[in-house]
Amino acid sequence: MVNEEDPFEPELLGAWQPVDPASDFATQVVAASQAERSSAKPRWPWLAAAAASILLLIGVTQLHLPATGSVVASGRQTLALGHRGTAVAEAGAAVDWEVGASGRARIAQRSGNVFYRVERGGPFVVSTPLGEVEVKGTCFRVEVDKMGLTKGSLSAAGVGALAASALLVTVYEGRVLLASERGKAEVAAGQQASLRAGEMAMVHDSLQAGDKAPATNVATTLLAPGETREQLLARVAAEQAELVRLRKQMQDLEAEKSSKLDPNSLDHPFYAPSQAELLQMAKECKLSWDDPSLGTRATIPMKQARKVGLTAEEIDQAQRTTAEFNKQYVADLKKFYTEVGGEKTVADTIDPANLWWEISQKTDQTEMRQIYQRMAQERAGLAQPSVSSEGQSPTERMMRRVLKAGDDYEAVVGQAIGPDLAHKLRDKGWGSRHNSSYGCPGEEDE
Amino acid sequence: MVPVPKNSISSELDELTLRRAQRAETAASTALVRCYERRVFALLGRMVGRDRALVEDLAQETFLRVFRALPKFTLDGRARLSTWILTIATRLALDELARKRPQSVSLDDVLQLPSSARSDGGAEARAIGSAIERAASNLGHEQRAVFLLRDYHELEYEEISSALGIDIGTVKSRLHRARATLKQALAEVHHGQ
Repeated sequence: MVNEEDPFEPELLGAWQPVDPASDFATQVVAASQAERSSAKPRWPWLAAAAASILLLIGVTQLHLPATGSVVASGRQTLALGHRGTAVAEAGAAVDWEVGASGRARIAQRSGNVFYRVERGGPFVVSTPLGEVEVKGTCFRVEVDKMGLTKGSLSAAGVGALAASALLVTVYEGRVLLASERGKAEVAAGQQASLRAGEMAMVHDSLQAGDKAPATNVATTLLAPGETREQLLARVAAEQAELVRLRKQMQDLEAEKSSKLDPNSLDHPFYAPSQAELLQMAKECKLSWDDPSLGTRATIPMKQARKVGLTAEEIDQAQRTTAEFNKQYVADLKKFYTEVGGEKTVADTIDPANLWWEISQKTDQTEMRQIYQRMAQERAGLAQPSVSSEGQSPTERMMRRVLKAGDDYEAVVGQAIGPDLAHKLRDKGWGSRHNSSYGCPGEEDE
Repeated sequence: MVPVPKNSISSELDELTLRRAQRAETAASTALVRCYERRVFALLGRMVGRDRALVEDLAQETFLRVFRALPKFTLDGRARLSTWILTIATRLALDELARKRPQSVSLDDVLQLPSSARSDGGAEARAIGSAIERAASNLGHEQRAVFLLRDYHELEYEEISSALGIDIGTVKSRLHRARATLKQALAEVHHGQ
């Protein structure tokens, strides 16, 4: 007899294996939460900048915030689908999207014509009223409703008014999986698949202008009402020309994004901006610095060490030096933390790599702006460098310590393995690279 | 470092760490996630299936919502943090299931084990686990949630009632039907061996 007091035996319950979290899940979700908190306060743009620094700091974890959006395009519109890709929606296209932190993307395309460019990284599914298109890194176009199937073929399909809803998928790169109630079909680059309500998807090679004998059913499927074969070929040729234009547009967008985000795109090391850049940073009260990998997992950059050709003995020496440097560096940061009012016991619980951020959090915004302005002006040669820490607040001393850490670390590693090798090890900058600003004194918070 | 409690079903974050997490201290926040992540993943995986990316996204969203609301969370002597977190996870899973198309992949295949594979204990456990999973996937979404929250996560009827917004009588009847369905499925597995 089964009743409410008759639960399952624990060993039976245990037979249903759970899904376990990844080992770094907690770290990632906390970082995402911190970044979200920072970016959720648009009245303080400096917080967003600080959040960006945190993202740089933890960049190796490939953290991405979830992204959602919805649009009914009134004209051609370029959409950023989180970190997973870009779409160009034609006028009238209705699209909702949701991109999760892990990269899982779900797009609902209710109608219209949309070109997608998708980066790899987890499932990417476009749901339409007729079926789903599952993608893994590709360029493709999805057209819902207005694809111009012939009335004859719709009538033959016996779907009546429902047939007005139809789907055409054109794949330009990679491959997609088109799934509907009637089954699944894989569509590769250079192929098209058409799908009508209640029917199986038809896959065929894309028509080229030079094609002489496309399959009869393919031509029938693609022809618009009253359209001749020549008109169809012209339409396909026009679409391919459009694809070339869109690819160029995508490349331009990606190049623009890359030049803004990638510090390595600069010709000079990240830690040594040009004079023009320093002047600009002084104007914006902005600081940039590279951070060695210090804190809980202090280490030299091993990949670079191998590239540089360090011997096992040199690596060992550099690692020992790193440990000693790290010990003093973390102790200094903890001291600054207590000086700004933090509890010593709490300082011991904070990941040392985040201590500078925690100290900043405890400091008044006006003071942070003044510190950044002063230091940015010194770096640009617009103000006399400070020769003494006398009169400086704990936060300012902390920021000066943090900004010098890259040079200091290179110097001590240089003592262990030689300055040339240490310099090569640093390459264009130590592992974490920060661009940070709280705005200038007197600026509005908005 | 902040001590990280074991992940036993009954363990709760200690109050001091909770207070620190409410102040958004990194280590305490991490300890909070580590304390509850296995339970959240287990619940979500059993609710929405083994789509790992989906489970991870829902788990992340669960904890992001936890952190958003954490400063207002109060320990009033009755409320358990685990119950609150599992409630958030359950609601997210139910929302996801409500807008998701039914899975087209049949779990029947999972049960089609070769007869030789059934002779050892591991194979039997897998068969039982698959049977429970398959039968649970055929339960209504809320019915499944009731079963998981009660039998896997040991929530009280009152807590489940509050989590799902249904009265206690409904909780009991859904649990009763869920257990009956699952036990029937298990009986078929044993009978078939």
